[in-house]
Amino acid sequence: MTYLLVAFLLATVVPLLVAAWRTSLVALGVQGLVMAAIVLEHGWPPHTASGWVLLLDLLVLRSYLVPRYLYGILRSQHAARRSDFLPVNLLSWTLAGALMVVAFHFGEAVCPEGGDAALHVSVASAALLLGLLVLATQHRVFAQVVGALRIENAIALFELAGGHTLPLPVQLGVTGVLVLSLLTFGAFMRRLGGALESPAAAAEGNGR
Amino acid sequence: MKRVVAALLPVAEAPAAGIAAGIRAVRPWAVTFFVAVAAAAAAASLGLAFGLPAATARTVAGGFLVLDATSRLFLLVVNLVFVGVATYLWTRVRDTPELQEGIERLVAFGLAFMAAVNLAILSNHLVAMWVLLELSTLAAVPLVQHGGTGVRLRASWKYFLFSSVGLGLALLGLACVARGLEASGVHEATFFLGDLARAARTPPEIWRKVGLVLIVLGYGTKLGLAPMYLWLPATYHAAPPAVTVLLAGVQFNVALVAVFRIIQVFGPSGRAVMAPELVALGLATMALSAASIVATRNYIRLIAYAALNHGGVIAIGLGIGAGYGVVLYAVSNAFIKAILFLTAGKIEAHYRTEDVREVSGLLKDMPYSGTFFAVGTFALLGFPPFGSFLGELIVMSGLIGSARFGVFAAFCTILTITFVATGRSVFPMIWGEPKRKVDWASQPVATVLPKLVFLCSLLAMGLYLPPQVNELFRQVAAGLGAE
Repeated sequence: MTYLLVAFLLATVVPLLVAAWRTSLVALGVQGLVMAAIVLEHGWPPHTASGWVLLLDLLVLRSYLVPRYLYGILRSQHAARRSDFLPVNLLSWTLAGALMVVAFHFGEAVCPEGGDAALHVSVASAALLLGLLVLATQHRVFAQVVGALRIENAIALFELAGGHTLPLPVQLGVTGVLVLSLLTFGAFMRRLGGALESPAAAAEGNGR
Repeated sequence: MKRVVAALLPVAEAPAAGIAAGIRAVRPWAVTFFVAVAAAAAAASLGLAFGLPAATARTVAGGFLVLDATSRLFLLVVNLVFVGVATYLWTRVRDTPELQEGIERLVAFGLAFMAAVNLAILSNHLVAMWVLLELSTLAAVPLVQHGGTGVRLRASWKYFLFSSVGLGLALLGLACVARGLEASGVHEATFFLGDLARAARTPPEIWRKVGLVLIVLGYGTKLGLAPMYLWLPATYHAAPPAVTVLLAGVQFNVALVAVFRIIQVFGPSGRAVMAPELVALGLATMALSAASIVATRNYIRLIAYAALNHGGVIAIGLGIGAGYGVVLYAVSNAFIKAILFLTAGKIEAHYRTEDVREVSGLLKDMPYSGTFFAVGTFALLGFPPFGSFLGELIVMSGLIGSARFGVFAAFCTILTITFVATGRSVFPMIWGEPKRKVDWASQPVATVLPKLVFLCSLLAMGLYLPPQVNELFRQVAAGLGAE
């Protein structure tokens, strides 16, 4: 399982370094695939209908539909190739590095037994904190959508560490919420486009 | 692929035209239907609230829904507010072109929102409740956008983004709690309230503590608590008044019920973990709200900032275990916000401004709206004889009783600042000399009636609660650890 968690961590960090929206979407898909692989490593086939829904959620929705849907929107908007997800300065990189260190310390603190359990928590925490950092530092709608989806994936990864399963209607609800959230994110990307980038739009937002 | 779509287009046009014609035919009746559903829901919730003894708790729908004091009380509150909103729309839609455009869409999403909210309150499963709260948020996004201005679009984005992150943190908290229960020997943690309450008797370990902190932070976002409160004033200000009331008087209470459920399930040990966070966030929110009230000259924003203040008081009350005061304050709060936001919508429609300096002599110019605004402001500020006064008093005595003197001093200072700043802005609006020709705007009885019901409820909560209602309040408070 260690190599899967390392792959998830790479999919979290690499898009911050590459700063291209395509890389970021591929990374979201990779995160979904890695999580599906973790589920399969726990046992194949899933024991319950709820387990199948979870697997489809990870394999179809998060791995393929999420990046594909956002890709279609950005293509239609002729988005520029470069897309920074962190401000390009030393402070941001130091902060990102510090958050990674904090995440790994947290993993060690709550899982003193170490091993995969600690790594699992550390990677999920790092993904969560970096997602929050992206959200806090970006004003573009697409970057904020990516930040929110990174957080969603971090939470999903963390949930895979537990042994609990949800009843089928609830698992369907959780997946349904992700589908509807994705459609809503897409609608905002279409309607707001780059509007939140412009200072004039921000100034307009202060009045009614 | 494009050829297939082109070939199918004429086939699709017929039903699309049929749907469009259907929508046009439905439009005049959409709001009437909305009012009918609201009235039916309020009648049903009234029956549920008082048709069973207060202490009765029953699970239905395979254990996924629960009818206990908490769900019955809050079903009643949100559906009464819903009636107020539906009636407001019904009376405003005829002479407001902005509302008429796409009204059937607003009604459809409004009904979806209310369905999700009602089910969330009834939910007996914490993750199912989370799902339903998310669904209500998704249904609220197009409601906030209604009218299609750029400002509303951006406000709805802020609302959706903050809600997604906040609810994400709450879900993470639930996952941590489950992991904690498994770590303390529970074979498999389910999120059904009864199962969780039994499993949560073991002393809390690190995962459960982390989980509870994240849940408070997550649901605190929906309550408008610091640090993730920025969406609230922006959304309450930009959204149409009816939608603002749905968010402030309905969805706020659903998020509150979610926090109530956590406290009920995890008992004193859980509250001990959450108390410092709740008190700190509550105090910080109150301070931010007071500073914002001092700075603003916009009366809709002012009410929105006051709503932040209410969230802070409720958080502090929950932190110190002032259960009865919190329930009284939360229910009062729902009615106060409904009265004030609906009246502010009327005032804004009349004066075409939101600047407090441009509105004067409300009592003479718009006697009904002026009276409701005046009385609503007094209730907002926690004056007697309203329920909010009693609620605040119980929270304050709880602070003294638990020897939190520093918090008590800060609480009183912030309330004083809030009172002075609100009075400075609002009182001239109400009692000043009218700046324009006195014109008594017509007020259909249907507009006044729901607000009058809310006002009577506020008075009843401060003066005399019928024993049946009081017993329901007591049952909810007992679950929150009140003595």
